Amino acid sequence: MTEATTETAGADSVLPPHEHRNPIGWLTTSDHKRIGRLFLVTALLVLAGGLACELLVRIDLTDAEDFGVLDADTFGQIFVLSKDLLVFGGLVPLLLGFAIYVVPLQIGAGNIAFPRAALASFWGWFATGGLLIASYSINGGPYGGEAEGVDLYILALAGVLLSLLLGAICVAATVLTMRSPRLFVDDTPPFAWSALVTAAMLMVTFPVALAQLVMIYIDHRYGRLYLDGNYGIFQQLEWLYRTPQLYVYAIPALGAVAEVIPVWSGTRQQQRPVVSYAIGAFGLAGFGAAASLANEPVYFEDYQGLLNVGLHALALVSVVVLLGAWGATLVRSRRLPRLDAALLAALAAGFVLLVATALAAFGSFVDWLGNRDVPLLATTWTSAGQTLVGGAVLLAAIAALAYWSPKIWGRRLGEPLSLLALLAALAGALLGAFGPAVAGALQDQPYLVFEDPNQTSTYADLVDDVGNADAFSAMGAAGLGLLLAAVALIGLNLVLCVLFRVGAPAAADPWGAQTAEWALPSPPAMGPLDELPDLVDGTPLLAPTAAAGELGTASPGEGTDGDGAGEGADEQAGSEVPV
Amino acid sequence: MTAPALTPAEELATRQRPNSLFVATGFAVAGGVMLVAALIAFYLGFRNEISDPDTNWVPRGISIPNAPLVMAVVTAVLSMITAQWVVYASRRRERGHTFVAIGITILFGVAWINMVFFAFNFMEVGIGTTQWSNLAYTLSGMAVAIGMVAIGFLALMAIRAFGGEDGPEGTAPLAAAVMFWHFSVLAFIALWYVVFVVK
Repeated sequence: MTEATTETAGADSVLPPHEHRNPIGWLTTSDHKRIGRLFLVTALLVLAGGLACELLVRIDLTDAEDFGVLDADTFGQIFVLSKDLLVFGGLVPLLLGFAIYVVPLQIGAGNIAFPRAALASFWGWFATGGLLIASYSINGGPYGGEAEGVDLYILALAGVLLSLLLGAICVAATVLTMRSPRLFVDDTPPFAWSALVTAAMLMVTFPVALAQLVMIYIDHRYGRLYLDGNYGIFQQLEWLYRTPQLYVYAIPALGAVAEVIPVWSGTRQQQRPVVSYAIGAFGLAGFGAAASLANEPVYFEDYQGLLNVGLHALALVSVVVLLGAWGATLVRSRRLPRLDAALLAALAAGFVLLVATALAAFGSFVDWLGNRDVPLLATTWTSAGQTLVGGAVLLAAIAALAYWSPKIWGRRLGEPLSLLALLAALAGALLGAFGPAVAGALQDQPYLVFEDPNQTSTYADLVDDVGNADAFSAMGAAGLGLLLAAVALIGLNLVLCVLFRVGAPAAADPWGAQTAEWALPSPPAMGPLDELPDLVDGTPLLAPTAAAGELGTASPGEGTDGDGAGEGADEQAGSEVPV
Repeated sequence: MTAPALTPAEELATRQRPNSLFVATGFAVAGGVMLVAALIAFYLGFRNEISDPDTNWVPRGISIPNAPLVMAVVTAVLSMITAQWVVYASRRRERGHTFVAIGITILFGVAWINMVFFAFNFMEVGIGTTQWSNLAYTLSGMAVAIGMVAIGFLALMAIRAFGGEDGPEGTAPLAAAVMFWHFSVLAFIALWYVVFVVK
């Protein structure tokens, strides 16, 4: 419950003195909402670019006897660039953007901790990300032929990681030190909790990558004595792009799903502590840095392989537990929830993540047994896992965008386009994983194309003598095409909603939501809140009847847009939360 | 509606809410520990791949100057004491002592960094000549970089303290800088032990 939430001004109110509406304002803002929007929009654009690069790679793999679209060297560069753009340019900043925007509002903080550091995080990520892309334009990056370009890539990637770490620290410090005085950490909403877990896990894994980058830089610049020059870079760092490390990037996706399902159920999350522990355990499972310290092929066998199996199994169990808790919540509502895009995308994200963790756990277990000539995780089985985790995060982002768009942009996203994006993302994730998984399991199609310089021209030899590899690669390419289409549909939906203002303005709480950000106008006024709410619970807007698990809560989305809309939902919250 | 009265547990939670900068620095230190641990792990991993590392790892003809390096370690340990003096004095609003302690701590920091530079000059080991030299430069360079960040952080917080922040409530920024200082010294000692003692 809240004592008071006093933000009454909407987005068009008078700006705080240090904020500007002109472009300079976006460079100098200290408002977490603007910084969050910057991350969200830019990350979506970069995500589309990353998917386009990955699509090029998959298309090339459909013709195993020749590097069709790209030549051998360019193939390796685009292969790594696509992973950089997808992970550090797309998925991580996208979820960080949600966290920077939403978490302070959820926990009753006036702003994010260190708002200028958060802004520096964005512009640092933007600038170093630009340098990273620029390094490829001068034939740099892993497998690049220009030494200065390779060095630039290494420094730029370190800058990207440091910038993302800075943003994560700001979010974590906000949760730990700026939440309402009487709000305990274990009472914070699940998305805020997931953001905290993510920050903690990034803090213990990214520095390992930074240590590697420093070593690689020194060795590459001075002598190239022991890390195989530009061919050793991706081998050293590839743990960053595969499970279990990928799970770290997916933690906020679980938090977003955990926000959506109780709202659409109209009741309190069942087994709430279990959900928090499961999200935490999933985060622990993403301790990919542990795996990075082991060298292949030992990585997959012996005690290191057993550790790998344990981490993957922990992730799988965590997701099963979470799905069980969410299922119990849906059953508890005792009525059929409205099948909106947000709920469907949340459920699809959970399902795809279940498939992803099961696939990765199975692969690690098979490799630990050591019966295969080629470890399963050294084949495109790994690509399948990457596609599934990425697809799950994208689906969760669709759910989060559909859910929080009224709060972020003041309008609900178009439901048909959101549903189309959801279908494309779901089909794309499953199809994009199925082809590579089969090609890897049955035909040993290699994941890492270039193990050493001598293999640059032998990729065709590795795969051209096995049946149907091309066809399975084509399925993977089709899946990537669908994922790209999903991102394009999200972008189109955002353009229509934000730029062309399609649809009526959203009410403060169009969903009958439960967390504190929905007590504020949609969108909240720029700048820090004038008066902070006094929260004692992460779900202050949850109606007493719903909290008790009874019927009678408003169904999300019923009569919620336009002037005066959303009143039913607001009434549900009761008079304790004046808006 | 009137807010319900605080329970004892809630009162405790409210009272003990830590300073944002202190918590953020704690996260940075956690990250730094992982960075240092990873560097040491990689160093020992590469060393382990060499046959008979006790004789083949460090290039022949290189003489490691133990005396200045041990002095650097001792100086760094002393700086931890003076850094703690900073927090002690600031909590008691003894501004004179606070700034003297900050000055001595930074002086010690510059001294141990200088001794590391001296050691590398003395060894005349060129970067890019052997695997050991590259790794030694990497690990020692990281220790020096962390030390420089600690010096900069403490100097910055000293400026804030000069502006009037001290006492039991205002010491947190200085305490954060001192926490990072302790980490930087321990990181240096760990890296020194691996590179120059274990070799």
